[in-house]
Amino acid sequence: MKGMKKDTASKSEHKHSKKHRKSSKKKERGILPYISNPLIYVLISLIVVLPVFMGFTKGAVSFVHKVQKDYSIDFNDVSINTDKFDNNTLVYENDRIGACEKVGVLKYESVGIISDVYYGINRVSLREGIGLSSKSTFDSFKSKLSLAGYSTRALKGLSNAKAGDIITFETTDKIYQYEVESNTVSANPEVQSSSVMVISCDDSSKAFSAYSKQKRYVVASFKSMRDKKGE
Amino acid sequence: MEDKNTDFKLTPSNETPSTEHSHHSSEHTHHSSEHTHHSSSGSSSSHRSSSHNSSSHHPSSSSHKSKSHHSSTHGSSRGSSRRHRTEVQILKRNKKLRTVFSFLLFLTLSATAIFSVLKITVVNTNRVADIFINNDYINALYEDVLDYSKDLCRKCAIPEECATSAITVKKIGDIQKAYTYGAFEMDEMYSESTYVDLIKSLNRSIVSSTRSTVKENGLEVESTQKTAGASTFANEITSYLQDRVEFKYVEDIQSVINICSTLFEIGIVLFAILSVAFLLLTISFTDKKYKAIRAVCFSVYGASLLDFVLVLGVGIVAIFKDFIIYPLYFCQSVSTYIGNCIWAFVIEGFLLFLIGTMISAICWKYKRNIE
Repeated sequence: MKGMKKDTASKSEHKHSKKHRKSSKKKERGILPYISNPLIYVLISLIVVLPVFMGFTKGAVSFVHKVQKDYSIDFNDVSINTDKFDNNTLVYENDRIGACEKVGVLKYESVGIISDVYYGINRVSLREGIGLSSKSTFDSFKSKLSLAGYSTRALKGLSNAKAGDIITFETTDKIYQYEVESNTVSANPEVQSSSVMVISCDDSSKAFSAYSKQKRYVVASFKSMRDKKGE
Repeated sequence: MEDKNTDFKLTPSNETPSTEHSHHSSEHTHHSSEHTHHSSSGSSSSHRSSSHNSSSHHPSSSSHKSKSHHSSTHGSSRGSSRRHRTEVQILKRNKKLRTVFSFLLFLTLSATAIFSVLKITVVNTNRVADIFINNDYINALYEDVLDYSKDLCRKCAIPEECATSAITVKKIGDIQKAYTYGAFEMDEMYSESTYVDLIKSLNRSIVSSTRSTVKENGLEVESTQKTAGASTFANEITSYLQDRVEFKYVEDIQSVINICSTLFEIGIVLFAILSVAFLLLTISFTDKKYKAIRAVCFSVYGASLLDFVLVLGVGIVAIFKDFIIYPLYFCQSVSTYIGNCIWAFVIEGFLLFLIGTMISAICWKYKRNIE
């Protein structure tokens, strides 16, 4: 009997150990350790790697910010934009108008000038038409508009401007009328009234006249304003 | 061996004596001979450890064994269980050490790999200089200068040919290369004086081209600008070009490259030596060859995973941070450089993963042979 008991006990233990062996074999054969162990290694290493990475990133970001400050946008990366003007969504406040955005159309038909006007006097605006100085103020009756263009292109013929001529400036919703007061060549314009339009260009169409200090200034005073919708 | 097999058949905790013995032999001989491992066939380490545990946790079984064994005495069974316990402790210690050295191998391997990629891509003077001298950048710079010159022609009321005939892609490329090579001290052929000479040469050719175009077209020149007009025009173009070519932070970048390059070189050598040392140590503390290979495999996979984690980190930073520097073609060039660096990390991670897969295949082969 004792021998029988011993036999059954040894058999059960043998079975148990076989099972254990099988499960441990399964464990060892699986790919789980190949995932879990490296993952644990990486997670532990992140305690050191993460602060180093964050420090490096912080340094890199501050360097980029420094470079961004020194290398701001220039006109080689700007092009004219007519979307807001065409969609009648342009707000005539200096802070809300982007560089080279179309703000209106200047018509001085008696000397053959009809040109688009873009915000900012820069090479992009002047390439496409007339530039409106960012120092201009839009205040209906008291608007002070300062415009400039190339004497060989958009403002060709400005030298023929005469006192009493009418210049119109069309915005998205209004038409402003100005009456020419003077057409002079000088170093600085002579402006008396606050609600005026000053159009400037080079004195002549001769080569390198842009380097001359003398400029042509046509000063026109505000005459009237009407809504565009009434047209 | 026969005795052991008989013992295996007779005892309830049948594996204990045989595994004990084979373990004992393997522990003592695995440094000297690989053959011992193979001779202890049919018993993997897991079997052993499990049997060890079962025997150590069930003293009754060992007492039973001692009773059933005719030749053994109480004293010898106590001695064998003590020996068995010591072996279990050694095994456990070995496993711990193997894990520790595998982790350290992972760290040094990762550091070596990361430093190598940083040295090859990020702080590589040639690659940094390539930001400024690659074909796309030079073509974009040429277009930029040409646009400016054309605008200046419009402003000065002269034909655009003045600029287009004198300014060519080759000239702009040469000027950019001269500046970059000189600033990064890459080529003795180029220096700061070469760059200045090339700028002066371009200036002269613009002046002569402008004068000849004005003459050919019979343009009337502003009386005050008859002598200075063309040179002022040329000076404006060349100063614009200089503004575009010269990068303020070249010296800072150069010094960072020099310092980091030296540090990374030292780091690569140091961590490579440490990697070899930890590799040997990882292999040393084992009773089975495949376990050593598997531990090395974990380290390689870990290094690969860490690479991908770093790439992911850079990706997350790139998503949340705007990277815009003007001019946009410069920003594009820098982005390409950063992209190349990230790709280098991805490739490195992938290579490590491949190495890991190869090692794991070897590991499986060894394990199968043993089984």
